[in-house]
Amino acid sequence: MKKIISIAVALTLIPALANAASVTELEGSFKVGPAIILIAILITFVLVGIIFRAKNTSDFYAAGNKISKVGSGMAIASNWMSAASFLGMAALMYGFGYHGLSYVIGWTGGYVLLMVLMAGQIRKYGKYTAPDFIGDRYYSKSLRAVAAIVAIFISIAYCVGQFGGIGLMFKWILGIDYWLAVVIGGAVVLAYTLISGMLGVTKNMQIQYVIIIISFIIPLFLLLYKYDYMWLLPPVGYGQVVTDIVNGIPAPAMIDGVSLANVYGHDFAMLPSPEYAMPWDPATGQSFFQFMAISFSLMIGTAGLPHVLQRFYVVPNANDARWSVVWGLFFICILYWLAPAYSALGKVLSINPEVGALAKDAIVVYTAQLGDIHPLIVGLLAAGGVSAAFSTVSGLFVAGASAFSHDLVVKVFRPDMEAGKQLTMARLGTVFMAVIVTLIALFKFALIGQLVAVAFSLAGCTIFPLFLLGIWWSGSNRQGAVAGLIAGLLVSLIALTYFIVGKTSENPADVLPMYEQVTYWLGAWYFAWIGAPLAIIVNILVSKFTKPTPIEIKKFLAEEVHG
Amino acid sequence: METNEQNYDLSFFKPTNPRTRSNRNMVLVLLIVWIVAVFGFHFLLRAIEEPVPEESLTKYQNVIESVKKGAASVQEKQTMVWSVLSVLGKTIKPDERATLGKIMSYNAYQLIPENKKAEIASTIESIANSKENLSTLSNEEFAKKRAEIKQNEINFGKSISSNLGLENNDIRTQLLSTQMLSDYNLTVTQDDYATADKIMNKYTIHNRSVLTDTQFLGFPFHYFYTAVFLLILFVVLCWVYAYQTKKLNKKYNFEG
Repeated sequence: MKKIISIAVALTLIPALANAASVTELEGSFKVGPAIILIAILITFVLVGIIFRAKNTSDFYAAGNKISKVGSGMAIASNWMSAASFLGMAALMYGFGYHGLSYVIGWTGGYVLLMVLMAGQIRKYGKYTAPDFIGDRYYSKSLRAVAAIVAIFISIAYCVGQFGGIGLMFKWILGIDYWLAVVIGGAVVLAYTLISGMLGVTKNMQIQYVIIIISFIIPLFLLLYKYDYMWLLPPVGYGQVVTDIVNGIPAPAMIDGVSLANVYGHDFAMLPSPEYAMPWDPATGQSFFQFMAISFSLMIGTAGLPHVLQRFYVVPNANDARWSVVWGLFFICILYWLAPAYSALGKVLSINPEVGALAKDAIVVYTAQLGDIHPLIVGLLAAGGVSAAFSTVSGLFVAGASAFSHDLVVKVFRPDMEAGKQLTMARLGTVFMAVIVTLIALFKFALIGQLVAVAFSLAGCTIFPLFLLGIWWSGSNRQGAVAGLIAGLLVSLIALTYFIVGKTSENPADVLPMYEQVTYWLGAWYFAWIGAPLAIIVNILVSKFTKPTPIEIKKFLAEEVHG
Repeated sequence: METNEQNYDLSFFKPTNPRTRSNRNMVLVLLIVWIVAVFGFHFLLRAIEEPVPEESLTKYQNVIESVKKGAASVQEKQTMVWSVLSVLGKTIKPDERATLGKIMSYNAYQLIPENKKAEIASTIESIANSKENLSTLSNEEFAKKRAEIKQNEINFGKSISSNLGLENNDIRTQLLSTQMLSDYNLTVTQDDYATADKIMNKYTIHNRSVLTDTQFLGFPFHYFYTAVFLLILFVVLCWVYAYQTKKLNKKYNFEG
């Protein structure tokens, strides 16, 4: 095995050395150092996946309930910290200033909901997957099937953003076209998920978490030190950068008689730009309503994402489920405290009009490059971005594949299917998802963070209300659940139709009525602000006027879930 | 929740034993703190904010009518150039940059003596041409060439700064070589000025209040609150819940 890997690495590096790129351009061709780091990391992932590979369906779905609290917290964090966190958040703040922070608080604040309303109870309910819970709690095979399909859609929507991130980073490292980068990156992450299954994924997630954080924090230390900010504590140290952006940095900024500049020689200076930090600034084109709607939608979406909910099945008990959320959120916040620093430094370093328009989703890497950080460290950063996307995609593939094989095929159509065939079915589902996601990712519909936010709104409108009422109100019955789900899906369908037509049609206002109003009030990344409350209200109303929940379900909830 | 043979009804709002009542109360308190901290703060931010123009907009508005009428004094034209450069130095859209660049250049050329205009235009073109093919150079050659261009840009800025009423060390002088157009026979319409008015308003009016103008640990306070404090609060809320639940379960001898 060692020989094969060595030969593979050597063969890969021959063209790399022949095509070494100049650092005088941000994109350029093949980058040797970053490529070596990326390959090394990917090989590590695959080896860990092989060592801890899934041996049966229980391992593939839920890692055999063997993961500790801290380990599970780390896995939650790694699973969560996707390309949207690693690349997308800084991109949103770089593009929209303070508005981007709605994504930061949306993607972390939701864990409070998850914690106080769901984590422990989900573990006590004891089902493998989100559709499993819904099918069982609402005693309906049809609902299980619909929930499985919704879970697959959510996983696909979430994966599209990740593949976009993988594509961007592979494009940057390999110096190839975006479409080819997406295809290669997608193939690698697919192969890895198929080999390892969730047990390997969980082990990998702990390794990935460490790589993600280290790769993210090292360039920040260096950048803050280099530009004379308080570098010892980056989450606080970058505060002065934000204030400097607001007030302006008069030229020339000097240290020891040397003028501070970016890699192009542009002075580290800028005119006052309060639009970067002021709330819902007219310059960003984002309103107060949109800030609030995004925060709320992402929060409830967090508490309704199947691949996040599924993580609570891999801890031994409800207490561990709760502590794994605490640890998970803490580990997540470490990255989220740092991400705004990249956008702030990126803002100053790229402010000279000569730098031109940069791909926002790659601003984390560009910031390090513009700050003239050593190419190998920038390479580590890019590899960290790929790692973040990989960890999430593998978790999503497992969730999607579980929904397909376990909830749809086995539970609805073929209850007698043998375990071996179930695993094959899960793997087929994974391949199918990967192909669909790759095709959609090639279109580049929006920023990574925004694409991922679509999945959150979808989850917030559909899965979240079913879990919330399913756990906390035994009066919620099958009819109520069906009606609520229809209401949530209807809102989702309207929002997504307007979004897709808007992206694909030249004159969407001619095709769809009230186009401007609907896209504003039901934006694709925040339609759950109304969809979720509507689904909950409909669920309650219909449940009140229809046949009550069967006594055995009520009994199970009262005795087993709530004690 | 309390259960008996006859009634297994369960509702968050109607706990039936002391443990579930304590749990409900704790959840409600944590959720209220969460809602007030996240949404309450932003409603407050919204309620007390006021649209505050930047100095560049105030100055622009003071002189724009005279400029539009073609009756502006030298000082008013200089103020106009200074104000528009203040926005050209921000991150703005390409079409907006084109409009502002045009009206800034038009007014700047009016401040430059006739016999210098051709030379200025030629220098702008020469600097732009020198930047072509920079990315094909090796790293060392690039650094050398870039330093040379930068010096040319600084010299260019200084050569016309006095005409434009700019201080030599004003960062705006460094924008001139890239933002000033080489065409010195430009014509500017009233529509161009109307568009420029909108762009200036868009980029130089900000929602500010005591919460945005107070500094805390180097941050504008509201930014620190959202980007740093709220995340700490979320972790603390989760920790409190996990800790209290464990304590509660122990107190009532409940496994869960």
